Amino acid sequence: MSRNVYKPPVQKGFGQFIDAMVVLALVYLSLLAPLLMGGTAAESAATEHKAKPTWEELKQNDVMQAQWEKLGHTPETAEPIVTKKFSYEVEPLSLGITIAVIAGYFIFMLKMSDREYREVINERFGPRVGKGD
Amino acid sequence: MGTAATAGQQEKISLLKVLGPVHVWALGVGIVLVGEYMGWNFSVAKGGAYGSLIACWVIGLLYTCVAMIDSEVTSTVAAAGGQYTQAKHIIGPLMAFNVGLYLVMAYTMLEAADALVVGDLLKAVAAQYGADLDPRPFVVLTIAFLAWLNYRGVFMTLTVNFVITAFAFIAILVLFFNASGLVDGQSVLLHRDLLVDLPYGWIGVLASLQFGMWYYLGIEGTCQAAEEVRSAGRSIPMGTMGGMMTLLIAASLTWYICTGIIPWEYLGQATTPLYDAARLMGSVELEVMLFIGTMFAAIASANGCINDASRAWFSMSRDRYMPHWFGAVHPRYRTPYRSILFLIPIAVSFAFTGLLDQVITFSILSGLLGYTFMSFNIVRFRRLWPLGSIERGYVHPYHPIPCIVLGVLCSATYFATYLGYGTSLLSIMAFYILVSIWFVVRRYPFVKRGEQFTMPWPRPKGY
Amino acid sequence: MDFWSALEYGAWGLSIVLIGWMLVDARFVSTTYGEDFLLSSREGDE
Repeated sequence: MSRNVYKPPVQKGFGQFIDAMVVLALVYLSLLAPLLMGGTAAESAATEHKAKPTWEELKQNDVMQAQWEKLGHTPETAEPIVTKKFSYEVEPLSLGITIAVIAGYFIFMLKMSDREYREVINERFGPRVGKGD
Repeated sequence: MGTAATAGQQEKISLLKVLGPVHVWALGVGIVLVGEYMGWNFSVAKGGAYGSLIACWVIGLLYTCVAMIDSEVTSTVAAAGGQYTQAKHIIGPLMAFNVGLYLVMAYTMLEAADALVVGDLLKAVAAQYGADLDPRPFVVLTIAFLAWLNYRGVFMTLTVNFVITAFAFIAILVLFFNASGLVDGQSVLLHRDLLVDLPYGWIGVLASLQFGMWYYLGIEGTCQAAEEVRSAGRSIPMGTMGGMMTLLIAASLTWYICTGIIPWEYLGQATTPLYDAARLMGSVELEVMLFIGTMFAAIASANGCINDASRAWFSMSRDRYMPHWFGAVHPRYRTPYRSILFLIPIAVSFAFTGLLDQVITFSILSGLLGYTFMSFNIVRFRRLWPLGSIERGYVHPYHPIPCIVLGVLCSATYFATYLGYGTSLLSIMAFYILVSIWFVVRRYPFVKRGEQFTMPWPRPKGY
Repeated sequence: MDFWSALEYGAWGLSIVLIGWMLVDARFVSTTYGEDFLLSSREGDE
C-alpha cells in the first residue's frame, strides 16, 4: 500500500494564517450581505394607529389585560407589540431559487465528496481488486 | 497504520480521557437549556401559543431522530470531531469540511449570543439601581473566563457545566411546581383565558418551526466529547438520550408555565420569558432563582459551545483541512489550546457586530444543514458497513423511519427559515458554496489522503 | 468612581489578565516543547 501515496506539500506559517483569515472574511461577508441587499426579517410595517387605543380594541380580555398591567404595560405601550404582524408571502420564484440552491449545494457536495472518498479508500486499502466485497 | 511506524521514534500526545455520562449530559443540555430561558418564545410570535407547542413537539421528534441516529454512528466513530469525523469516514472529505464548519459556526455564534445575554442581564440589574452599565466588558469577560476554563482542562469545564446546568433545570421544575399549584394547591395558571386560536393559521405553525429549534439546538454537541470520555460506546448514547429526555420535559414545562401566565403577544417578543413568568408570580425568591437560572443557562451554553467549537476546529486542523498549527494539544492540560485561543476574538467580534439576528440565523441554519447531513449519512453508514460487519456500540431501532422523518422535518424547517429570513438563508448558503469551492481548490491539496481514514473498519462495501 | 464603573473596569482588567495569561502560557508551551510533539495527536489513537 506504499504505492501511489499522495504526498501533500507542507504549508508555511504565513500561508496557514492567510487561510484562516480567508474563512473569516467569507463569514463576515455573508453576515453583512443581507444588510447590503436590504431587509432581513419579514415583518409588515406597523399599522396606522389611532389616538389612545384601549385594551378592548387590542382584543385583550380582562385576564390578559391584568397580566399586561402587571408586566408594566399600558394600552399605548402594548399597542405596537400586539399589532405587529408577520407577513408570510410565498413567492414561487424566490422559493424556487432557494430550493434549487439548497439542492444544488448538496448534490455538488455529494458528487465531489464521492470523488475524493474513492481516492481516500484506494490509498487506505490499496487499489480495488476485482473480487468484490 | 501511521501509528505503528512512528510509535518507536516519538512520544505522542492526546486529549485526556476523563469524562463520564454525567459530563456528556452536562455538555449537551448545558448548551441547549438557555433556549428554554429565551429564544423559543419567538416561535410564539411566529405561530401563536399553540403553534409553538406543535413546533416544540414536532422539532422534539426531529431531535429524537437526530439523537438516535447520532448515538449509533458516534458509538462507533469515537473521535473529537463528532459529526465531522463521521462525515469524513462515511461521505467524503468535502462533506466533512462542510460539517466541521457547520459545527464551528453554529457553536461560536451561539456562544456570542450567550455572552450578549450575560451582558444584557447585568445591564438590567444595574438599571434597577439607576445605573447605566456598559455590557461590553462583561461580554468579553464571559468569553475570556470560559475560554480560560476550557484551556485549563475539560474535566473541570464540564463539571462546572454540570452544576450550573442542573441548577438551571431545577429552577424550571421549581417554577412549575409553584405555578401549577402542585405545592400549595393554588394554580396561578390562566390557560383558559390566555390561549387563543392560531393567529396565522397553519402556515404560522410551519413558520414557528424555525424558532422551535431553540428548544433543543445543540444537543448533538455531545458527540464532540467522544475522544475524552472514558467509554464512548456507552457514555455518549446514555448522555445524549438522557439529555434529550431532560429537554423534552424542560421544553414542555416551559411552554406550559409561560403560556399560562403571559399573554402570547408579549411572550412572542419577550427577552427573558421564564424570568418574566417568575416576576408575574410575585415571589421574590422565585424571581431571584429564575434570574440566576437565566444567567447560569447562558454561561453553561457559552461554556459548552467553546468546548465543541474548539474540538471541531481542532479536528479539522489535525487533518490539515484547516491550518495544521491549530491541531496542537497542550502538554499539561491536554486540551486543544490553540483552537480555544483562536476562537476567542472571533466570538467577541460576532458579539459586537450588532447583527444578532443574522448571527442567530447563521447558527440555526448551520445546525439545520448538519441535521440534513445526518439523514443521508446514516443511510450510507448502514449500506457501506451493514449491521454485523463492524462492531456498533448502539444500534438505533426502526431504521429507516427516523432518517426519513428527519429528512422531511428538515425540509419543513428550511421552508420556515425561507419564510422568516429568506435573504439571510441565501447569503449563508452562498457562504457554504464559496467556502466549499475554496476548500476543493486551495485546502484539500494539503490533506493526506489515506491517513485521514482512521477507523479500524474493513473496506466499505462497493468501494 | 462609583461602584458600577469600577465593576466595568474590573471586568475589562480581569479579561485582559485571563487572555494575557493564556497567551503567555501558549507562548511558553511553544518555546518549551517541540512543534512535532505538540502536533502529534492523531485521531483514533488509544
